[in-house]
Amino acid sequence: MNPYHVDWLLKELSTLEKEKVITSAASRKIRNYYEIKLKEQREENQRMLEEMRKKRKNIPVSMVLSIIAALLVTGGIISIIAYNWTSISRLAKTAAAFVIMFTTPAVYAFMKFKLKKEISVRINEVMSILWSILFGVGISFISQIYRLPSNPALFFLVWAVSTILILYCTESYFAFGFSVLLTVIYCMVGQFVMRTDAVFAYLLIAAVVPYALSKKGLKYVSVAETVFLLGFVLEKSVPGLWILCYVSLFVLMFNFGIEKDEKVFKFAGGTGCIVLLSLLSCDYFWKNIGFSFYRTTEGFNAGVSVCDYIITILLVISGCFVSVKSIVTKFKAKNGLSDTLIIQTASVLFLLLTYTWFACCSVNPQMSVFTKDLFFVFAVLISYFFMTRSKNKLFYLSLFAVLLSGLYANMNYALPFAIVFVFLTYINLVKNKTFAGLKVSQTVYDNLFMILPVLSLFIHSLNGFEVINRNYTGYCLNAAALVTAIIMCGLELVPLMKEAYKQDKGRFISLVEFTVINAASLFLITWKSINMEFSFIAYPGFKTVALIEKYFILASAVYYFAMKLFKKREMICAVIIAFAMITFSLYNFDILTASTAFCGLYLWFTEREKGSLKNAAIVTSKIFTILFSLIAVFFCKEFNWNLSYLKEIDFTPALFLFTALAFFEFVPLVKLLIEKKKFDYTFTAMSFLFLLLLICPDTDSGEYLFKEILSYAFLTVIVLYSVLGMFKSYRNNSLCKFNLYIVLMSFVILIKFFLVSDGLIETGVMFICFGIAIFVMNQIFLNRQKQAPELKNADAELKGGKTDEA
Amino acid sequence: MKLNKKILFSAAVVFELFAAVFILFKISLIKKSAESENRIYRFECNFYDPFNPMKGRYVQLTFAEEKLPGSFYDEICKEEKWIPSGQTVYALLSKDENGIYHVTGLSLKKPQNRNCIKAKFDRYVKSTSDEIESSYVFIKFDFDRFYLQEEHADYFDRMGRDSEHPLNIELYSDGEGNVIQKELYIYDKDFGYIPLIEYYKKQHSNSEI
Repeated sequence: MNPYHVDWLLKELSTLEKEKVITSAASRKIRNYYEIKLKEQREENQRMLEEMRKKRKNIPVSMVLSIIAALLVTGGIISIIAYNWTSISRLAKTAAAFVIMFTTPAVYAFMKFKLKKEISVRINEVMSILWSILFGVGISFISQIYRLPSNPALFFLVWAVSTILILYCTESYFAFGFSVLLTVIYCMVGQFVMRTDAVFAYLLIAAVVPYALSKKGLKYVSVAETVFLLGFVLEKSVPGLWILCYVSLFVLMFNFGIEKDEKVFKFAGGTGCIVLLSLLSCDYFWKNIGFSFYRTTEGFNAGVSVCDYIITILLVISGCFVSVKSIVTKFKAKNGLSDTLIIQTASVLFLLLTYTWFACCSVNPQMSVFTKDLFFVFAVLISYFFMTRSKNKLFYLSLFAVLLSGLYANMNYALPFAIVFVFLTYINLVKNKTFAGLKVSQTVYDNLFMILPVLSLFIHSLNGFEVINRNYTGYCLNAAALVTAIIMCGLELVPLMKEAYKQDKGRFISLVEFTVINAASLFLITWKSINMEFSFIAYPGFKTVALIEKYFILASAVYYFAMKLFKKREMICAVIIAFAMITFSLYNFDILTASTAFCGLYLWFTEREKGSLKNAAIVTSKIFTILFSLIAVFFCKEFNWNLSYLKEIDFTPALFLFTALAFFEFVPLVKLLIEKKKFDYTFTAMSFLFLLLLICPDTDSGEYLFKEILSYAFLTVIVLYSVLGMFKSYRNNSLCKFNLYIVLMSFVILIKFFLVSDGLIETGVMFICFGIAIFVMNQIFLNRQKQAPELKNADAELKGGKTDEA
Repeated sequence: MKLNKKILFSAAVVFELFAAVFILFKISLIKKSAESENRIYRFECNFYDPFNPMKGRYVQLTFAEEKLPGSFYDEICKEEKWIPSGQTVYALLSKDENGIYHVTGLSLKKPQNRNCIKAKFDRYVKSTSDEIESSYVFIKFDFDRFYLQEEHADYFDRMGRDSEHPLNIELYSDGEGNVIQKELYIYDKDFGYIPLIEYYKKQHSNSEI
């Protein structure tokens, strides 16, 4: 409804009434109707305007840009200070250091307390960046002026404390992130560089927790920090104490998360428990632990170890208390045996198992050889319990296959994987396919279903590395576990298979087909390589593992292409093959594996083209292919990296292949970029290409001048490209694009400066100018956006005046 | 988070001010103590020129006195069963006829009435070569960086080393073994040992003439 038209109509009403076209009653009715409607519309406009203003207040892009600007300015100041001005007196330099440190807090205090002005989120972030970083810079500057010997651990501790105080004062996200970073650096420096200790890390971690808990997204960071740093801070004089600490911490987090319905704790605790359970099933972690192996060699401080004991006791007590209390409360409520309660009970059982086993292995180190059997039985029992309650029998069939293959492979490598998959079954069980806040789609089930048998076979091949060395008792327990598993399978297997066949015939057949192909290929290779000399089928002596690896890849590749030919689950197979190839390329990096890995990744990306992310997938795959090919060519040509044994081989065909691929991929990409107008692909493509080109000229390859010229040519192009982009965005009033172009230009120029390494003063001045320029430009743009047409219209309508259109 | 912002702000500023002033106070205390009791030590050293992103270019100093005979380790091992890497030890100092100080022993406790400075224990190495057993103890001094203006550091880096006349560093030391750098000296054929900066200026004025 246009207020201008309404205004016109209302004015016309009196004329119409005079001319007796309408009655006065009808005129009154019309007038009332439109006045009410107009009032409602004004209220609606008011609400919309408020919403728009709110949105404008929290523009994340402009905030990010302000942060970048502030970081550039601080970087510039650091660079200028680092010049170490000899001609300036010490007193003047000291005064400068104090000015650097305390100008920002003074400005902040003036704005906040004197002017009592509401500081915007953007300015608040900028202030906190300048304040927190420049404090560290000032302290460094003073110690540099007076040539004080460095003490990095103490320096980072003081800096972290100061940043935490700034965090509570400004409530800035940057200050939070920066304090976490400083705490991590303090731990690293304390434990590894200074080789002393980092006991204050506990206090630093605890200090940011209240703030993190008050903000939604920061809880994850705080939890990750705690989990990551606990292992570093522990003095580790008593070997194996970390097991108690981590198991208690994860179980505590998990049960606390369930109790308080906090997704982050449930997720972190649940995932941690699964990972630990899989890790701890290896007897390696249980060897030589406890006080009998107390470490007194260099690097272990007996005094600091007291902190270890305190933290372990606290975690053990709190872990037990919170978990047991939560379970007891649920039992008392008598709501039946819920899924959540089962999981909680399993976590407490895991806790008790770990404590008991720690005590056993500490008292008698020989007991560690039974670890695999113990954890295997635990995993089998838990999985059996869950299986009986589950509706998806097909999924559990695969899990049992994995567990059995774990047993078959003597549990050397298989068990950790097996346990991970067993506990992934929780996912299916708890609350409509979610576990600890993690949503799981049908695709994941399908993928797991297909991956599990592949993985078990993969584990078999790895098992060839291991020399079987187990004692009589180990065999007995192994046999007992096998018998248990067979009985369970005997009871469940036939009905399970029947039901699985009923559930999804196609999937069931493809599983069998896939397993048979892989098993057959593996069996044939083994036959060929060891001439049927293995005596006992349960322990095939795979001595030519490298050969098997390659044949395994080959078999999988054949399978993949076969599947592709028959159009069956291409994407899943591509993921499997890519995963296998990447794994192998890590161990055996040669041109064959690199090229196959490349093909696998390429295929994977190609498969993605069928999904909803088609366009993005095409561009990503093309860019990835080009990058990968260029990097491969670069490595092969420049370094002969890790290929010394292949030096005699002529690389020309490989180089030709990669270059050709790069070319063939580049042409359609360019075509696509020209044709597609919807999304600004050029930005992504140019960023990748220029980054690559900027990095290349820095290498010492004998063609320095050419590369240097090339580098500057591209630098000019990117600057022009960015300026043009900024101009266009300014005309189109697009803040997001405008900022992206600024970031691209600054990033590229900064990289260039770092690579060329010009003088400190020049770099510093350039950083500061850039920072200020970005900040000013952003501010101008924001001011301009405040007077955007839609806002003008809304304002105009609010006043009941004429719109632009009118 | 309902915390009083003014109190938090004051706490942050006071803490930062305290940290900065404490450094200055500590520096002046060491300097005064060293000057009043004439505890200014001179060591021979060598250098190369690396870079610190926060503090700029500096001369990284290496000291011959950081590698000591293995017998020194046996001495400190009488006091403790084993020495962890990074542990603070006291390097006992003696002056030679040229006024250069040398480490003549190590101690875990601060010795009374003896010249000493703090160092960090690094490692103990025992090796056998041609049936001759040799052992060394390595320590690390924390005054091994001398910051310079960018061009000066570049210049000295390019200049190379003079093995006959190594650099000399002078340190202020308080009674507790804490030190701060006083000056770094380089040998000049006309004036003997002069501060690095003066040497740089002299060389540049010569080249201008």
